[in-house]
Amino acid sequence: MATTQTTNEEVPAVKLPARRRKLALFRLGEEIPRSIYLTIAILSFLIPIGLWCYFTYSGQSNALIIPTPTDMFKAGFQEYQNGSLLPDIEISVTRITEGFLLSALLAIPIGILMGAYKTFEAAHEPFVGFVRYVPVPALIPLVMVTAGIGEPAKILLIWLGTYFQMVLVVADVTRQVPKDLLNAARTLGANRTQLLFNVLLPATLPGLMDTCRTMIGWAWTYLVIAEVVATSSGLGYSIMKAQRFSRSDEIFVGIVILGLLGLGTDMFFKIVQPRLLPWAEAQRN
Amino acid sequence: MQKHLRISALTMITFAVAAVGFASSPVLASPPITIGYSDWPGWTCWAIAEKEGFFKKHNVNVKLVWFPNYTDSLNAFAANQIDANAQCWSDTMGPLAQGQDAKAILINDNSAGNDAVVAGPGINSIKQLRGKKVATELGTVEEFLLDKALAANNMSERDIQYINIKVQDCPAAMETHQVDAVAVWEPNKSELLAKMPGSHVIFDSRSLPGQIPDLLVMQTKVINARPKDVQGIVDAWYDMEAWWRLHPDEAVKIMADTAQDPGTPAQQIAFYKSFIKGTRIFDAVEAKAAFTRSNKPTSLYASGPSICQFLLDQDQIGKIPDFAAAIDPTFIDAAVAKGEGKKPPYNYTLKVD
Repeated sequence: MATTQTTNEEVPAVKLPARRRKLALFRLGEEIPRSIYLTIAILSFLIPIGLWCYFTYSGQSNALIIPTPTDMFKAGFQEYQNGSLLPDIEISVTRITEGFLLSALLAIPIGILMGAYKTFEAAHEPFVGFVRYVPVPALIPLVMVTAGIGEPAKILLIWLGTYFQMVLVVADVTRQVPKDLLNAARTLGANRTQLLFNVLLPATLPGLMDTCRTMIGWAWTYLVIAEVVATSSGLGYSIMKAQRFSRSDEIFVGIVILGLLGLGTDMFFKIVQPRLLPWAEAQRN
Repeated sequence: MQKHLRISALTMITFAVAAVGFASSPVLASPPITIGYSDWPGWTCWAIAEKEGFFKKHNVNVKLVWFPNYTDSLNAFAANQIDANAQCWSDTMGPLAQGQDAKAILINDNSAGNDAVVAGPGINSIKQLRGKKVATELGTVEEFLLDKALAANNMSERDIQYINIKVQDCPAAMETHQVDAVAVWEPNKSELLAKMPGSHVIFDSRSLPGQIPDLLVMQTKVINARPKDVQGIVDAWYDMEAWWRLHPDEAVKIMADTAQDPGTPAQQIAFYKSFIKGTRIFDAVEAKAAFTRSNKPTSLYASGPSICQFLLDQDQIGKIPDFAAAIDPTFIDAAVAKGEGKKPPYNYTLKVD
């Protein structure tokens, strides 16, 4: 008997049987339960590690190229004990930070100008587009001549690897600021300075954060190239030295630490970004 | 139905042709022994053996793999990507200590001048390097040369400012006066001497007989599986030496052509002639002596301990490997017994003893 409730009398709370929503893992762009995310992420590490353990402990792989996990940990522990591990990490992190900051300090203002004004774009982008494809290792003798063989040379190599990529991406991010935003500001009477600093800049910040996050990963890969010239410390140096002496265990220690440092940097950005730029999340949704 | 008949007929014909092809080339049917080599006179001459048909003459299928960068050949050999490699004795120790199962089966030469310490004007001896900036590539035979040079003058790396720069970048560092001296090999040594006025050699490998031997090192499993082929390779080497002696100009041309060092072909040949002068190639009798236990400086057994000690002090190796087990004289002994390799490719004034 179909009845429709039209009165305002309280409806007794009927406990409906809990209907489990079908577990949807492949809906485009939709969230999945956090526990599932974590499980898949952990498996994505465990499976390669499992394969690594299998191939090395069973002796199927070449010990000169891939060490067993035990050998790697032993080598890492030894490096820690003879006091080279932490200073190596410290000096590499310093070099990356300095090189990256120098890149960012130049790339962000110049990139924004390039994205905002076509005159700047014409002045700088073709040149950047050309230099971008020059392999940085080929520039080592040139760097040696201009910057010597000390720390500045290494910072310069990291800068060369990151600046030319970064400035283009920043310019792109700037160009993607919706024209409507700028037009609205102009309608409201904003002058050139206000447009740049009060409207454009805050609008580009989320994209800039993303850029920095990608670029710092890029910078890490240039560490090994930067530490080729006249070094006696650093993670890149220790990897190269280990490679020269066929010490696969030490190579892997260096690789794993580099990977963890890169992952740490990435997670740092992931955590900091929504806190610093809450409007970015709103923009995305 | 016709379509199916056509396809199966085509397939059968293809297989038949392939089978006939395989059957008619017995040498090609056995997989080639891959030998890695790079730019060094004692190694580029392998190209002569190939070109003049000495490998075919001894019925051995060899594939020479050229490496523009010597270190890449070391890595490829350590990764078992090539069956054998042309490399130095000192560079063989590291992988041996790490468990590589390989043996030296032939000695090509000793470095006799190609590896050198080059200094700028004002520095005329190793002793004057005290406190100065000296650059060379970490862990290479050049660092070994430098350390030996310092040790001969009662010094060590602690008495100089050692800077780690790749050998190919050392000339640039010298020319821009960032460092006072470098230890380099060819062609960077000639490049530096030519480009930098006042630069000169203050020490070279002629003063270190037996310390920088160049060898053919092969994976043990290949040696055990194909000893006849390995003997064929060693026999081809000595045939090549004899041919070189009879055709000096053609030999240099083939070697310079293989190496493709910078410059016109005429410049390449001129450079290679000087490159060869700094290489003391061994005949079979001298090779046999190098593969015999003795106190002679050229004996691999005699130079092994001092090389290993250097590597140990440098922390390049964790322990001294059993290098004696990695010296296999059987193939050279057989060649000498057959009367091969009685003379080196040309007469050297530098005695090997």
